[in-house]
Amino acid sequence: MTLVALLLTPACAAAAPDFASDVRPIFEAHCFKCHGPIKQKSGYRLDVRAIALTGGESGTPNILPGRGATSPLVKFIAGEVEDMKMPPEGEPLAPAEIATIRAWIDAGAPWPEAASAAVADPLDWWSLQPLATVTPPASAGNPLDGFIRTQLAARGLAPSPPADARTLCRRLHFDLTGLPPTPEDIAAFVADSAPDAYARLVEKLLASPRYGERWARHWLDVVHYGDTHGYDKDKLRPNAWPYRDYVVRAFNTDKPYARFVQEQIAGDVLFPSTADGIEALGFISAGPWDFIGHAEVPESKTDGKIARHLDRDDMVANTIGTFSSLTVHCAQCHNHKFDPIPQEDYYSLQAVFSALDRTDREYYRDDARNARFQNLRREQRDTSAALAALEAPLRAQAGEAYAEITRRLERPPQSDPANPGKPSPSRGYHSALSSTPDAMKWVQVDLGESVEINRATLLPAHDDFNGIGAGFGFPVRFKVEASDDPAFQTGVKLLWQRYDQTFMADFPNPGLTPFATGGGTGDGIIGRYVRVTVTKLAPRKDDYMFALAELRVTDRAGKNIALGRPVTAFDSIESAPRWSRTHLTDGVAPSALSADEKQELERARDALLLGVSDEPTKQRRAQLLAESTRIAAELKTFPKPDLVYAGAIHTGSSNFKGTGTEGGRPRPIHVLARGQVTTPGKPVGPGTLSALTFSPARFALSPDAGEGERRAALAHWLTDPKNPLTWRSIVNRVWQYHFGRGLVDTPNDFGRNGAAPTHPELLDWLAADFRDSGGSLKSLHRRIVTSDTYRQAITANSAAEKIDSGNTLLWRQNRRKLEAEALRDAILAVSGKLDLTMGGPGWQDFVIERPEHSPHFRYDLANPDDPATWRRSIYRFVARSQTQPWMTSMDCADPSMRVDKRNESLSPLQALAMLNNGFIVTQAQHLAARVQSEHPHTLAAQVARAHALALGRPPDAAALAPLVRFAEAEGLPALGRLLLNLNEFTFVD
Amino acid sequence: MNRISSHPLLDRRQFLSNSATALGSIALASMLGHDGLLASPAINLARPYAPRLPHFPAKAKNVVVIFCAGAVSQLETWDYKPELIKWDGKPLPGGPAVTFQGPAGDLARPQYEFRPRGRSGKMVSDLIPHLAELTDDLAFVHSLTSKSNTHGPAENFLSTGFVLDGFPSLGSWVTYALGSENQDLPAYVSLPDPRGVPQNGSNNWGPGFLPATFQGTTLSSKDPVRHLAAQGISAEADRAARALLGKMNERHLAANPGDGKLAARIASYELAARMQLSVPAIGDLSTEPAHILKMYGADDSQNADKAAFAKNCILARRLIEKGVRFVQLFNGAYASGGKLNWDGHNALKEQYDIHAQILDQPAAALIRDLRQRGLLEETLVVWCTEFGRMPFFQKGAKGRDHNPDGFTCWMTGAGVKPGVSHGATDDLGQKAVKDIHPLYDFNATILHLLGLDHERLTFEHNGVQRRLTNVEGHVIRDVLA
Repeated sequence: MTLVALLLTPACAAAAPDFASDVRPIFEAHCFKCHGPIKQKSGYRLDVRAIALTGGESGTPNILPGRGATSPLVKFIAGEVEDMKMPPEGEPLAPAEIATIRAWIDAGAPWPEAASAAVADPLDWWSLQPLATVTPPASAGNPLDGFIRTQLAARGLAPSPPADARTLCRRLHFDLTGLPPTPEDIAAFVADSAPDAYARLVEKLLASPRYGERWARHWLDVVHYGDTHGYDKDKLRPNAWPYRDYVVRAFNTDKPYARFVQEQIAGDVLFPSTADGIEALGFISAGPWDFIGHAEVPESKTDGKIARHLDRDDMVANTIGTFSSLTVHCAQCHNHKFDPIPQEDYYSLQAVFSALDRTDREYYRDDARNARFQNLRREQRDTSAALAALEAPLRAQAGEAYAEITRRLERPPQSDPANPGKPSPSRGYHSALSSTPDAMKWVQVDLGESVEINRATLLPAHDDFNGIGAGFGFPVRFKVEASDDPAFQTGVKLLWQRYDQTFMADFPNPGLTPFATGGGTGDGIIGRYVRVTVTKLAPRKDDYMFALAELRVTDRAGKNIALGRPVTAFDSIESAPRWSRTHLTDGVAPSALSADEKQELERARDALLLGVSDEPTKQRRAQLLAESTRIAAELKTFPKPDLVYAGAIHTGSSNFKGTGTEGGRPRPIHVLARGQVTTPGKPVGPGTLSALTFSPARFALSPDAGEGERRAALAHWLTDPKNPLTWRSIVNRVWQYHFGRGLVDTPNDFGRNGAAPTHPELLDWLAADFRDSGGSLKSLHRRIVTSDTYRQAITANSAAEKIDSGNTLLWRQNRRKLEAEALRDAILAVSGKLDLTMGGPGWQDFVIERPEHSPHFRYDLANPDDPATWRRSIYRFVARSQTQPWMTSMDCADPSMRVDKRNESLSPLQALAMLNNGFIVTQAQHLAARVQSEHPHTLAAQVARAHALALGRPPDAAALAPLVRFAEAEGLPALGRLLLNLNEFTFVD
Repeated sequence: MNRISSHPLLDRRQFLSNSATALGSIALASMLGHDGLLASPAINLARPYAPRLPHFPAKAKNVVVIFCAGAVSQLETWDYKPELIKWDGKPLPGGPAVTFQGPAGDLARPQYEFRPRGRSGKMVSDLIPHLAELTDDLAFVHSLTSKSNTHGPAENFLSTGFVLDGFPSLGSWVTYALGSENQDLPAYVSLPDPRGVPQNGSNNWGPGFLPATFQGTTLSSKDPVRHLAAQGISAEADRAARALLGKMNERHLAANPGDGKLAARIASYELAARMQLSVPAIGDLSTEPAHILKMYGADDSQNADKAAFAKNCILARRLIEKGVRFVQLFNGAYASGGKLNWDGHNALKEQYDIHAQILDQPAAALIRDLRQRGLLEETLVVWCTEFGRMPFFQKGAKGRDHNPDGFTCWMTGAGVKPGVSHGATDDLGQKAVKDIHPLYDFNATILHLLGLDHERLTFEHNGVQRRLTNVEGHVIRDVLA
């Protein structure tokens, strides 16, 4: 178009609209709410020129310079496109405004660069940069203090003086062990004037098993550990605890952090002979699991796909959130809105875990035995493979004879007594198909008259459809009943019922083994009709059904009185010649080979193979067979294996099949537009975050690499010394638990939505130092707690408060409220009832109602004074659906959520729970009994002792008198309750 | 320890009297997790339930949510489908063979007669005659959808906006945003059905990742309040203990100035003490006159379940009267084959006859009572259920299966346009077809009536600014007055 032509168009008769003064205000008024600096729906924004012109996530340009009328933007604001009217809510644009936009686009959409908001380089972000090499500021003593003092000085602040010995002793005990010091501990420390007294106390506490218990609890918050599955049914997870114990042990043994990370992602691959390598995989399975979505819906269905997609989502979010402190899960539906995490990265991380499910995994807690066990299993796999390879050419040579025997061994059994030797497919009853397993169906036989029934026998059918074979259509949950009422409304006698007792335990497919109800006469089981009612159908291909070859009903004499009797059914496919109601009682059913027949055939087949083998092959084969027998025999000598609920290749039947049946081959993973499983896009292989450039983001693995190699690659990537996130993440978490606030205040989010580090250089120095000195967490604690910064008192300083009211610069230590677990443990320690038994299945402080369906956890029915609950809180059985009410009111972490930082709220509900909960009241009684037995003679001594136990100091004279008066009037238990409710008890200074 | 500072914020009296001191707010912000990231609101740690301003002027101050657990059939209540009468006994044309619990049977007519109600003449069923009399005052949304067809997750979805566990409930969001008008009672009270808690129990009133302060407190006309008193400790002994406790805490505060947390915890004990007095008083229905008990049906000696629910309804009114911000009133317990809640799979009519008796008169009386006391002008009353039911019976049964694709909830009271019927399901009442609203929209509308923008009421959790409505939600303008 020429300039002349342009000038002739009416819109341009006037000057073209100016972007800054005419156009931008319209965008701002109508569009910025969703497409501006704050929010960018569909990734589109009208404040940045490049994005406004080129389109958002869709990539389709909305503005076509020079072509106002055809530009999508104009069509949208003019309301010309159904479903894309902009703005979707509120006032539409005035015609004049639309005309202005149109004219501006007609004029070529001139947009001065200066009027465009700048978009930062997404990779230019502190947490993605390599760890800086930092030289600590010159300062005597702990280098850490130099960093803190430098920043304090820059703001005209100074550190606080050190806290007194008692305060320090209490602080250190709680921080490192989660328990209060005894009055004797404090007295000894206060009296110890040696210069290394504090350092020795640190060492003593770090060496205590209580340390691991304390810090494992922090870790379990982050990984959202629980002892139930969560979701609707919230079934128990009885084998989760070995992972919890592993974490306790890892902290206590000061396992190098890199190893700790590697074990949790790929311990089975990288350290296959160790129990730790298996138990650590409880990390992958720590979060909730959708029982219904897995166990009741097959993977072939959309709901099943969604369940498995969300399951992997949890694994990915947990991994990257925990170890890398990034919110990768935000890239599930679209590229991350704030951080440089494309959707493809997210799905490549899903691909790392795509072979896994959450399930129980066999191993042995004893390392030596576990090593032997894993070795034998490996040998067993290898021997089978070698045997198969050796036999393959022999089988080919043995030819048709071999194949025939194999067919006879494996093929449908003979079923027609009238034609012996002739294979015949099953004849029987076959219900209509159902798209879900949870459909009720029944079939019944009319015996002609009401008779006493001995037993009913169900004979399974056989059909090769979908490779199912023996037991085709055999019901998964069912019952057998008799009645004189053909509608089974009245006088129903139960012969057999499985599903009510073990509602979730499916009946295993019996193959061709007949299933008989228990027999009996004289038990009142009389009826004219016998009905089999199915409540859960058998899977076929993408659907479900119910089939039986034969239903036999025997009378007292053992005669089959159902033979030839009429059959009715809820529904039936009536597909001649094989499937018909009448076939249910036609006397024809397939039968399996007898054990003898089978052995005979196998012997014959063996002879064939030997006949075509040369001598060395014979010998080699004999060797392998002997080897295989030896392995099987040795495996038999092993006791029942231990179980840990972990990320694992699952081999299951029914709906929850896992990938085991496919040899653990990873499920194919695609980028899902908007996170919808119904719209799979580009396939992706295993990989990780592309924002870190120290190594390729997609793992270079051969296509036939096992799934374990994917996890191993991720484990190596995470623990690469060049991965800055891993090292920053962990030192920041540790810092937070020592100061109540991290150097980065959002420990799970180092992205743009998170907080910036208050002391970036200190963070990098600590991270690098931690990494380079072997990843010892105990050394890191030592470094932190021996600093002057940590040892500061909590002072009041109004001048400092004006400058830094949140104490982000650490001009004093922070006063911290005890978390739910520490509070509970401290109460038990003070009362003298704390049971320090470590490990094992969690103790329970609830009664379970209705365990067979969806368990109800009734905390109110439990005995508040049950000695089984006097163990440390980390060993509590953590239910997800109904959290422990007292703990919840104390801001305990919700086990369904990944919690990087506990809330510290204060509420009247908490006060009431602290005053009146049965646990508090009974523990106060124990405290009273304890001090009475320790100081049997004077009340004052008892009061003083209780005070010292609770607060770590004896009461001063002014405090003692009213306390004694109170104890006299109200009793010692009341005094104990009072002490446990004091601010001084609840806060750590 | 340093000398006691003269910093004004360190004086406790002043600290407590000034509801918006910087220190209090800052201290809570840091307790809530992340300084500087708290989008809203500023909460005074010493008075977490202090009333706070909404985002914009609110039509409603308080809320009562009547939550009917188990999924009430829209077809037997509010969604009149004359076409279904014609189709009674016929198979659904092209319909699904199998639904949630089993194969579909034939279409079944509404199990109750419908008749025109009030001036509007809107057809409402005889199942709930008392509530039906209020038809002219109610604003119905007939076109709601849920994200789950399973009770537990669907309850979560209705109560928290997410199907998974662990997200804050509506009441927690509301009290987090607005505090409460009464400082002697919990800001958020849940009244479970006397027959039992709903399927997903405390998730329906859980705080999720919000501070535990904002969790619902469960009360009941039947059971004692948890933790309200300690067993074996007399009221006098308790008072003596709290008096000395207070003194010792004050002394400790004086020796440790400069930290708002200590003062805030003292305040929380004082509030607890007031609750100890006011909660039993609020639960004492003996002060209610006979005509009120009768109006609610609380005196029904023939129907203990109804009388118990009626007492909960009276309790709800008393709580609202006292300025409690959010009251959640459950009608229906956990999954029990429809025996204890509205889950009518097998014998719908038989069971609904029982459940409606329990719900109808008491719930209608609650609305009337709120109105006659002038409370309905500032109180929003919401009636809701987690999903609806199918137009056909289940095969071999006389009940309806789960239906998350089209169901009815309603609201009335402050800010609500009376007599509106918004949205519609198809002719057989199976799927929402007109003005379809996921429950997000319903929740967004509730927040809107309270003066809250559902997109601005956020809390940062694991890198996401979480909302009640996730990334969805549009206010349903048609129901606004």
